[in-house]
Amino acid sequence: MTAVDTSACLCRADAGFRTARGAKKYVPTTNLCVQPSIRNSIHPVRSAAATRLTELRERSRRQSALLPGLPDDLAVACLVRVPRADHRKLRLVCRRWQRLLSGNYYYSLRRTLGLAEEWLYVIKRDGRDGRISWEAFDPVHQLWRPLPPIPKDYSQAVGFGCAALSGCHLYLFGGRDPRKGSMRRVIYYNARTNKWHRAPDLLRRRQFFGSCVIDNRLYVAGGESEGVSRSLRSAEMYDPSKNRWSFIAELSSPMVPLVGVIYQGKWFLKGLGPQQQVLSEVYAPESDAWESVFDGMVSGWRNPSVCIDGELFGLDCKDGCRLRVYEAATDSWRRGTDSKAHLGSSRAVEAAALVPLMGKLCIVRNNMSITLVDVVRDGGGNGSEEERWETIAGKGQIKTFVTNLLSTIAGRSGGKTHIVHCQVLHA
Amino acid sequence: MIKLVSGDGAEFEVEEEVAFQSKIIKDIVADADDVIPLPTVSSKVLIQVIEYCRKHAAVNSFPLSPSSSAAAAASSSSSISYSKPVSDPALRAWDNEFVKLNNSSLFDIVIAANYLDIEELVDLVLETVADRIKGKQAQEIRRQFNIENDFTPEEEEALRRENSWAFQNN
Repeated sequence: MTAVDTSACLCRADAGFRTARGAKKYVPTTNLCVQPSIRNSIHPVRSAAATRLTELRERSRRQSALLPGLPDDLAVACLVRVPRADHRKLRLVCRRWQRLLSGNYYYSLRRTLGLAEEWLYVIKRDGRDGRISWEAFDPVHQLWRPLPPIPKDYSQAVGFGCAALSGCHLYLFGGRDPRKGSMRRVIYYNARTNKWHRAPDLLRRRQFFGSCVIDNRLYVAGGESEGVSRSLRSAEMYDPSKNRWSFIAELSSPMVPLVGVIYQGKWFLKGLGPQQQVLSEVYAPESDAWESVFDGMVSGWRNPSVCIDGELFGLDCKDGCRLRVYEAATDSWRRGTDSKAHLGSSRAVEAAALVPLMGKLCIVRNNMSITLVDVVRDGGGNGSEEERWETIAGKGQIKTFVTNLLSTIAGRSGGKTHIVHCQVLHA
Repeated sequence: MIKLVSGDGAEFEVEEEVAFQSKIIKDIVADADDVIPLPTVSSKVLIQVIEYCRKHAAVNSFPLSPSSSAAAAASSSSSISYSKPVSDPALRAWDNEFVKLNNSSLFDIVIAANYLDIEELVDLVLETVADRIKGKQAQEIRRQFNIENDFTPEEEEALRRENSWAFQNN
């Protein structure tokens, strides 16, 4: 089976523009990113797209300035400074602004100039009806930002994967839909256009699998599939630049992974085998080979963990008030920084995800509270351990006016919701 | 002293350290003479630019803290860049007063500053204009910057519908 050439975006994300000087000389109107909708992107005809690009160029040549009275290079230099939260409104101003703010040029420039903003995307499941929803948190302004709804395919799915590619694309893949069963489906959200698109399907239907991103390639391994009695050994890889899935080496034994982390360029997975025995495997992308591991790292590894600046951090307690660090020299986990603020053991305060955010370690709990921990800062003697911990979102802030109203009507508390995935996207 | 000649023929004599806020002028003076014609810059704009350079030359020649001069040295790599805010609070306040102009005056200044390669002034104006765009609705931005709404009514309706999830929240 050949991969479907969907190629939603004709220009590659972040190609070129290594320097601001190079970017300045560039005329923005000639680098338009044509991003078709989720419907017509499945089988695009290249020549038609090329014609459309020429058409757009023709049209833009006749157009007025981005900011009347200012050359376009300066207008772009000005517009890249407008914060991300306003971009949605900028796209409604006129066609040229809409195209500029949907293209790669604008966002590559923001990135080059260090203006790209990181937002945290939290995908959660309602405890009552099992519905999937999501929210974005803007850590600079400490506000939750509205997002377009999650496509229907995933509104009730379980056991699906979630990953960020190219810095600005959030992928959802696989999983099981209550009506359709195991899925091969792959969709992605583009933070630059604020829209969902379809990507080529997985090669195997699967749910409750492991996934990770190394070198902007998405890896998927193990899990289970409906109609298959035992768990899966197969693993596959998606390369966005080729827009294609391909099989990689199979796991040494079938596994339903429970935790995974990238450490020293390798993918560590720990999960349950066919007889419910605990298995740990490590994948090396260069040699495309899996290996069983039994070292101190995996044996002491239970909770979500994350690698920041080459160091591996894990939670030392369920509520994420203490961290631990893996020490390669002694092949063991040692106590890390402690917030000294224990939150309890209820499901609501359970730390659901660890992600790197703005150079810090970010802990997201089921009640949507978010804590940043400055793990990189070396204890220079001054300042207590607690000062490294900063809560940037309290519980309950998630409730917008509408959800507040709904929850009042339904008389339900926010405590039932739990977090399924967390990712960070730049734009 | 360096003599600058505006597009409409007016001559301005300025001290070297003031004129050298412009990297271009500094380069020209290094291998040419002291009379510099600036045909694309009007005298009105040149007066404003010189005013800015005079103020900044005076402050920069007495750096208040080592960090401000280090920041200036670090920011010399690219022409349109996102530079850190001016560290001296008094100078920052002066800058804030300086940019209290209408959009078209600001545009003329930033075009001249870009031509003369006065990085800090380019940054200051672009930042100011970006601030005026921030937090506004599309309609306000169009009015303020004289931008034509070239969406057809159908397109606009489609965009609104596409974004309907966003409008219920703000």
